Amino acid sequence: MAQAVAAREEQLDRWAVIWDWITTSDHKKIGLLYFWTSLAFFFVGGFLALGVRSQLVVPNSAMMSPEVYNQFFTMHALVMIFLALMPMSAAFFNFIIPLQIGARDVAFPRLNSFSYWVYLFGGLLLCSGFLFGAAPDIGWTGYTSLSSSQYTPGMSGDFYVMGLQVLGFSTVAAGLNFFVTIVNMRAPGMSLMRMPAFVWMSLVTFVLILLAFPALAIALFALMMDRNFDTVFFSAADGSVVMWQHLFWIFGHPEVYILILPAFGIISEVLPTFSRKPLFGYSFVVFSGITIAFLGFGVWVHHMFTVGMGPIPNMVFATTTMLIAIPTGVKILNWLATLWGGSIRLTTAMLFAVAFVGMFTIGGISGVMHAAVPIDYWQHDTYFIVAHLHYVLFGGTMFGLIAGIYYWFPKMFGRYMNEAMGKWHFWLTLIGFNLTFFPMHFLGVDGMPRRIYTYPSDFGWELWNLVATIGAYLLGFATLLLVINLIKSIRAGQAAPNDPWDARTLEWTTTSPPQKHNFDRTPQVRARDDFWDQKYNRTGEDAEAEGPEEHIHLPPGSYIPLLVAFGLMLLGAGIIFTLWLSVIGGIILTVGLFAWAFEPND
Amino acid sequence: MAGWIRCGRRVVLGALVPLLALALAGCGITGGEVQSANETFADNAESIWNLFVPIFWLSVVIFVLVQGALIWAVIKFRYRDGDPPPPQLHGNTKVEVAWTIAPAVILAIILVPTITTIADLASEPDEPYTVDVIGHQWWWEFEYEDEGFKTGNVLHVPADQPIHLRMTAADVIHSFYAPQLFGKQDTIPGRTTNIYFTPEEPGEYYGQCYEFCGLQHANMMFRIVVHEPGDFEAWVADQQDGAPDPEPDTLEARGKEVFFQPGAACHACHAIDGAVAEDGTEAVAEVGPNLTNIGERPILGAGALENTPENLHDWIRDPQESKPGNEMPSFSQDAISDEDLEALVAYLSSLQSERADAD
Amino acid sequence: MAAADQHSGHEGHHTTTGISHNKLLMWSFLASDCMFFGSLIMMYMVYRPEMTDLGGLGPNDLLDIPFSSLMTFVLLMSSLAFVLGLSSLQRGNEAGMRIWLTTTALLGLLFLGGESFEYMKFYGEGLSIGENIFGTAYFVTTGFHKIHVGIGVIWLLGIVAMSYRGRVPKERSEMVEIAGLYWHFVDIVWIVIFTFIFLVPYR
Ligand code: HEA
Ligand code: HEA
Ligand code: HEC
Ligand code: CUA
Ligand SMILES: [Cu+2]
Repeated sequence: MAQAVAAREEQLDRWAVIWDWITTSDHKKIGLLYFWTSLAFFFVGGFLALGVRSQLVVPNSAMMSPEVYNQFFTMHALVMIFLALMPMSAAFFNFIIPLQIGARDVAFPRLNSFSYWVYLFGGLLLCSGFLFGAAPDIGWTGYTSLSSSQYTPGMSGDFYVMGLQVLGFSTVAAGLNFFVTIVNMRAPGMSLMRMPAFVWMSLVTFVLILLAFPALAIALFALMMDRNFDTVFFSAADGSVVMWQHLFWIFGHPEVYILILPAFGIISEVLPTFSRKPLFGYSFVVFSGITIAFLGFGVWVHHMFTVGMGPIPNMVFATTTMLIAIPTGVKILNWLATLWGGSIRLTTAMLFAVAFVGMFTIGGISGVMHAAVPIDYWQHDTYFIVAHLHYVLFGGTMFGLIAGIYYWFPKMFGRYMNEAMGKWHFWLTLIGFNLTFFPMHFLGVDGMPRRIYTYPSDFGWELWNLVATIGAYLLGFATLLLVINLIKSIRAGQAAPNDPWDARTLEWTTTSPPQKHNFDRTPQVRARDDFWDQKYNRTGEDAEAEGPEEHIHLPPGSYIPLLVAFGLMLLGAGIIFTLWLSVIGGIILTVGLFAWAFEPND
Repeated sequence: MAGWIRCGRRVVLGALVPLLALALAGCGITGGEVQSANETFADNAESIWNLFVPIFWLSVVIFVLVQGALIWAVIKFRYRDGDPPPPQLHGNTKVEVAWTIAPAVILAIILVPTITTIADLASEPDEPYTVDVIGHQWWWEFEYEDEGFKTGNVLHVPADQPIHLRMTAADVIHSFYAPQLFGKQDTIPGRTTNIYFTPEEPGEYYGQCYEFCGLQHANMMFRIVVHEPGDFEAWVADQQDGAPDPEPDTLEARGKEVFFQPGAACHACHAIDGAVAEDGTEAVAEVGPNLTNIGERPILGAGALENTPENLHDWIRDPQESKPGNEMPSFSQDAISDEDLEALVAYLSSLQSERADAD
Repeated sequence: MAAADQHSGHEGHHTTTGISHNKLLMWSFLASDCMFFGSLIMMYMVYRPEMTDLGGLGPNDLLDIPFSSLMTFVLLMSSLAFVLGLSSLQRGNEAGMRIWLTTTALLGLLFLGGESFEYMKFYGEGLSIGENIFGTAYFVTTGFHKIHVGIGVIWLLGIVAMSYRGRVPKERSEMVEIAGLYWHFVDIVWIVIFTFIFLVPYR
């Protein structure tokens, strides 16, 4: 009897915990939700990549039908970009940014939880295409007229359009929220030029999100109208087939910087910490970030050099594209200079950060090759591009994010990760990564097109495809180590103090993991790298770095964001399945928004 | 402080060795294959490769400098137990300005030949020989407008003569690229794009579609046959004559009947110039490739199969087997009996221009 | 949502810039919205040259510039009414604010009505959304603008309703100000659309 009661109570307890996670508006919990979800999606994307590699391991392979292959590589890219890498950056935005700027939470906690739920539902919507055998199979770039209802009839194209459209809401909402948070919620004394580099790069990312995603929204909307409501935006006869490419890349190029800038930011934290030196040329790093964002809107045509727009546009965009290598190069050199003369500790986080610099440079250099237009007439849509994009996305963004995981793990979970296993993870990743993607350059030279599900045996492509596939499996194995390490360390890692790395920024002043309200007292910022300054430069009275104690107010949780997110997802899903769903979704959305507006939340 | 301090320089060096090995292996092994960009047989592809080589070496220099500095720094400035914090150097404006300018200079150096080459490749040569290229899902159509004939999947051009490919697409975007002859351009429905090149050496060159165009993007290959100038005219004349009519009462003649007979009705989709059925029906449809010279093409189904009588047989019986999703239906026993199919294959294989085996 | 999520925008809360969260949110949203309309209008401009010869269903045949000018005037007046409403509230005159904001909303509705009338007229002449590129680009571009106006109208009426219940006192005039940013923005976007879609001649 008593046992049954206890069991029931425990169950109730569990429900309370789940309810707490569902309704949470705490940026740290939302950050963790982002973290685990994006990690899960990374595995989905990686699984699809292994499918792609398995099909290509030998010529004339019959493992997959072309339909399935096309779905695999398309979904691989969509999942990796929109459901794994961007949200993993978002995990760090959520967890770290408020801590780094000395804030209690983000500016709009419920909007924040809304972003997460839209991301989750949108991601599930996008992936649910597989359940209907109709996952998008038009490449992540979805070029018209292939993606029109004439050449891609049925649901697969709609999953692409509506999945991305819904996800866009999540991204823009997060972009708005964090933009306001960074601009408006910095601790006293934290002027713009005292913000940690990660915060700066994130801020630039949010500006890019706010300005780039609308172009995608319009492109997707127009495509949706073309597919479902007979408009003629992208018809060859009435409209223009190429218009899609312009809209997509006006979004798409800034998007790649949206992917890389947070990683730039992470690196700019990790390298100084483990070199025990400040970031070299902080203001150059900051301004080059801004320059990259600015130039990022003026280079989109470099994805379209072969559409035949004529020599003049190609010359102009070759120039702007090359210009963008300058601020990026400045960053690379500043990171090198940060290492130079430092006192370097090669933790796993540091190893990934250092490798980031090396690997990203390879990808950047091949990018500059594409920018030389005639060379792009050769390399475009060959495996050379596939090599480039993985060197910057995996060797860049992913290495950066992994560095971030190892770096901030003690703060997020209060424990160290296992360094020995971390080292294994690093070396296997580095080797597997290069084994997978370096040979793709050779395949590019040998003219292997991307996005082909099979290839003949007499073109000389067997060897390097085999090597790449072996590398991919090695990489997959390495990634398993990461997850094992995460789980083991959360359970039984060595307890970490507040400041395990002798670090430099504010997040390390609070407890590990941070207490619910982050800081007992609002920090008082007196310098860039304030925490380092506190530890090493201030004495006596001066060391008192914290502001006065304040009334602590934490927003209550709410289930309404989840409701609204769900309504939004249904609204999108209706376009794919039946408009009735849209109606229901619309009603839920409207009711939810009203409830949101009038929910007391103080 | 934990084990993270220990991690020998051996290991760091270990990172470079496989990469370097890989790079060297790559240099040795790439090239010389049918679609390699580094062996060129026309001015267009050559100027691309000539642009690439110096940029490549510059890249190698940058690569070595950056990676070298990185590894050197990591090794040289390692933390040893008890080291005090190093000097907190925040930056050095002069140095930073210098390394903002340095890449700018390098890029300027790259940009100049880039721009001249763009202009070069875009300028129309004097009196080019023009062929229209039309991309279809998933095969290529070549139209010799002035000469009044069409062919599919194999483009014939004369050597030492500037060629102008005037390109468009019938359905979705494709991209036309033969790496050893010229740089690629997309073929776009509703638009025209151009490629200019002068082939320098007779021979057979490989190419394929490089813009993702749906299910069978992988099997959208083509060949370019570059003739000696004199041979080319003969080939053209042959095409203009149309397909040879088979001798009466041969297997081939039977095959021609099959081509038009209701079960097969190949003429509903395919043209064979000059082929006329007994009832006067002509084969002029343009849904699928023009088959006038099908017997001399090296490939079937745009590269899905090699062109041999057996493969031709399999192709007609079930094109979906070797090229799933393509637009040509399968023909079961009911539609074309085994004997009829044999005749049809014999007929199609016989469709060769007289000089076909001159190359 | 902007006005809704008021957690930290409430009075007296310190922000780094001194601008409230809600207001900053609205500004950054509008920046984003600029790109939204920017993309639409850019697309329209690219298609524009192809709209001259559409067999009787092109802009030269259909657009009625005097009528749209009138609608533009209506929308501009609504902005004026809004300004008067806001300044009433800032002077503590809640009833005045309600009158002016209702006027604003009504002018907005009039605009929507006029535009819908134009839609019906075009549609009656045979211009459907899929008829040609003009139909497509015209309906979608102006349609998006109408949705914006519609949301604005609902928002304004919501403020009026809240004001009746005494929930929009002078001290919370910022709430109205933020709605105003939105309303004026939508108005400006219309001027741009009006100029580029209606006024500049199609040749
Ligand atoms: C994280 C993402 C990311 C980043 C950061 C970049 C960065 C760059 N990219 Fe990349 N790119 C992609 C992701 C990214 N790219 C993707 C996903 C695609 C494929 C899309 C698709 O079709 O699916 C693509 C495709 C792509 C193309 C189109 C190719 C084609 O399809 O034909 C081009 C063409 O110009 C290009 C160029 C560049 C350049 C010049 C940079 C520069 O920013 C790089 C600058 C960095 C350096 C140059 C290295 C460091 C610098 C120095 C050490 C200084 C000294 C160097 C020099 C003087 C050269 N990229
Ligand atoms: C955004 C980042 C990103 C990331 C991280 C990756 C990661 C990988 N990618 Fe991806 N890729 C893209 C973005 C990315 N890719 C894009 C944008 C394209 C272009 C798509 C297009 O053309 O439209 C592309 C295309 C692309 C292609 C070309 C397909 C084609 O053109 O036909 C290939 C081929 O090899 C490939 C391979 C890989 C591999 C092997 C990885 C690996 O790094 C993955 C490693 C991770 C894992 C392996 C997962 C973890 C482990 C497991 C799942 C455990 C294993 C478990 C069991 C076996 C039970 N990718
Ligand atoms: C419905 C239209 C259709 C019919 C009927 C049809 N074909 Fe085809 N055929 C095609 C298309 C389309 C292709 C191109 C397929 C591809 O490569 O993607 C093709 C390709 C071919 C090819 C390969 C051409 C090349 O250059 O690679 C041959 C040979 C061929 N068909 C023969 C036949 C014969 C023989 C018949 C009648 C028994 C026939 N076809 C009936 C549409 C058709
Ligand atoms: Cu045609 Cu790819
Ligand atoms: Cu780009």
